[in-house]
Amino acid sequence: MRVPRATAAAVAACLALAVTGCGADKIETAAAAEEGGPCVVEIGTLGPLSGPAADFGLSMKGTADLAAYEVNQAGGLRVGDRTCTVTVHPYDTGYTSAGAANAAGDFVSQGIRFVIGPLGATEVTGMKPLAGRNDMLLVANGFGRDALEPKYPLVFHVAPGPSVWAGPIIAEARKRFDFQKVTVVATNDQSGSDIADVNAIRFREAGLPVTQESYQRGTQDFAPLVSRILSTSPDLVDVASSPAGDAGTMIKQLRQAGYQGAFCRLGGESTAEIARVAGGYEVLGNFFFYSMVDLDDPAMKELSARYEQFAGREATSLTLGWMPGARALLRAISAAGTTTDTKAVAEELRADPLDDASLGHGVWTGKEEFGVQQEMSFPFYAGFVQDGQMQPLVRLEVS
Amino acid sequence: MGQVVAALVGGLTLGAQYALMALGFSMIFGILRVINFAHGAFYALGGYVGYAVTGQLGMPFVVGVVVAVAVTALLGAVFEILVIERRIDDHLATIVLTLGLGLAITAALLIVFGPRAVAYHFPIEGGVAMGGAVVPYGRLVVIGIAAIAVAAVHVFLYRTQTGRGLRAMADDRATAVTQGMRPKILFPVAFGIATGIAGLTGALVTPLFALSPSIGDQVLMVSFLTVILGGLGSMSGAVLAALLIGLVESFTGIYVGGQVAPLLLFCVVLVLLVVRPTGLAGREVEHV
Repeated sequence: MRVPRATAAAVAACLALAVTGCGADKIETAAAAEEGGPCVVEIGTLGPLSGPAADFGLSMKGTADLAAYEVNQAGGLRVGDRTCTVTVHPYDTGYTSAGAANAAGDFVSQGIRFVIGPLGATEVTGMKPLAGRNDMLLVANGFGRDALEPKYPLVFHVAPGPSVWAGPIIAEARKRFDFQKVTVVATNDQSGSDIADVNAIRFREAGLPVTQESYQRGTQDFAPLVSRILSTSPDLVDVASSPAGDAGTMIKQLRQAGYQGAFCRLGGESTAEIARVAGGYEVLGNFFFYSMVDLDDPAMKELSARYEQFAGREATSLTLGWMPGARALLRAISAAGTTTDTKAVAEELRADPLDDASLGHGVWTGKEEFGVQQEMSFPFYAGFVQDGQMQPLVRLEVS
Repeated sequence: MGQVVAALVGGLTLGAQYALMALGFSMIFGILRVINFAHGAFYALGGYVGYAVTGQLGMPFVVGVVVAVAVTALLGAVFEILVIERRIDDHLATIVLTLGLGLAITAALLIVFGPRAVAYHFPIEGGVAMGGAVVPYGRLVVIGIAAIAVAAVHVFLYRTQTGRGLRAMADDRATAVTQGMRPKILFPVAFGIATGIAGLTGALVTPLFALSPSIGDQVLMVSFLTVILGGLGSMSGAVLAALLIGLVESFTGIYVGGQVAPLLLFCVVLVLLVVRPTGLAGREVEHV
């Protein structure tokens, strides 16, 4: 089909006008916000909001929602001489790198510059290039080995990965459970393999022989994997960062196949979800896990009640554990006095003393592992389920 | 020996699940010439109906499975009558319509039950020791029921008047209509049976694994793969391909590992399709 030149030129002119118009509108809005129009600080948040890993993503969204709620309840966020309302813009990534990259594109198109997330290592990898090119500031969680990099100075870590806490938790667990041989299971993507590799190193450092198994994300039936695990006769299976639904199914099938040993989860905390899918705490038997917070702590109970007040459901420990990072970001925006200059906000964030009203005092780490001191580290906990009974958490410090 | 038994039973369980899904998928394509992209969502819906009836209303598991079959079959038949029927000869429209239905079902499940996996468990615990491996009773039940369901569909299609009518429609719709077959009755029946089978699979199989709203996506993908390998529209081919895929997935999963198993599975399918482009039991169609 041939298109007349005049028509083609007219269409091209219209498209050019439309594109220019879109851009102009965006710039004008940002400028108006800086000049004293209604001030809204929009925070992007992203993660798997559906599917087997939804527990993680919804927890992260919960953090952003709670941080915004706190500030708005207190009258708004003071930015320079203006008082701003904080709103949250969530995006479902499906726990994929592509999903996170799409989210970054969406945030860019909406003028969102501050992000709480992403969550998994593969998401962080997928988002960083686009976020970096657009000067987006990320307070991310991914446990990947390249989660932080000097070439991405606007990426911060909301909490440390297993390289910091796996060793102390393994040492604590050996005081309670007798295990001599470990199998670490994770998905065969970066979100799985990076964490599994670090966990395996920490188990080996503790003098334990380790085998590693991986599976494709989206697997429903873990029977082949269960057979492989049983063939190596471990007495501890670490489900690492496997999505909670997968971890629960795996544990259920391992017990059905006659596995008698212990389990652990040296990854994001999702014990309640894992137990529900597995068939209850009695199916878990002996189980230990990393937890960012102690939900029985009075400060956490108060924070949890605040969350429940507006969200209408219980807060997960992840939601509460990521709160210091979200609060620090909002403090930094306020201190920098800008809603657009992410580099200035990053400067303020690096200087933040990490004194949190709920979790106490934290320290900046990351220089040794990533080459940049942009990781917020607060005291953490080792959780234990012993003979199907949940035990009080044990508080451990960042060494 | 234990691993061989585990691989065999695991492969048969997967194969049984895939066979049931592929059977319905193939039935809809063979008779209506519609690719049902909502098939995975019907699987998830079946699981959730089973969960709601047993887990939330406290009814016996069997009742949950029966209600799941009834609900998914009814929804499928109604959707065929109200929506598909109007665009039955427009292949692109039916693809978009079924895709839309699938997304709508998944979104509805997400709203009603939430995004997290729910606690839906098989009522029979324990297993039987076979050659050094413990085979859960649930898996044996699934294999048994799948075999009965496949046999029942076969009897229905080959031994009943309605079944013969459906096969006639699949072979040559125009001639079948001139012989008195009524597509306005037969098409909803075929669609309903197929989605009912998907619902049965979901209600039966998800308690062994996990149940969340998007669980049907992966199942849809494997169903599609199965019917292509079996030969589009061939129901016996679909069952054969399902068993083959289940066994390949299980044996490679055990002996090669999860890292390479999916790759090997697709390689096997690729080679088979190169050697036999019409699939295991497909026929070549002469274009005039």
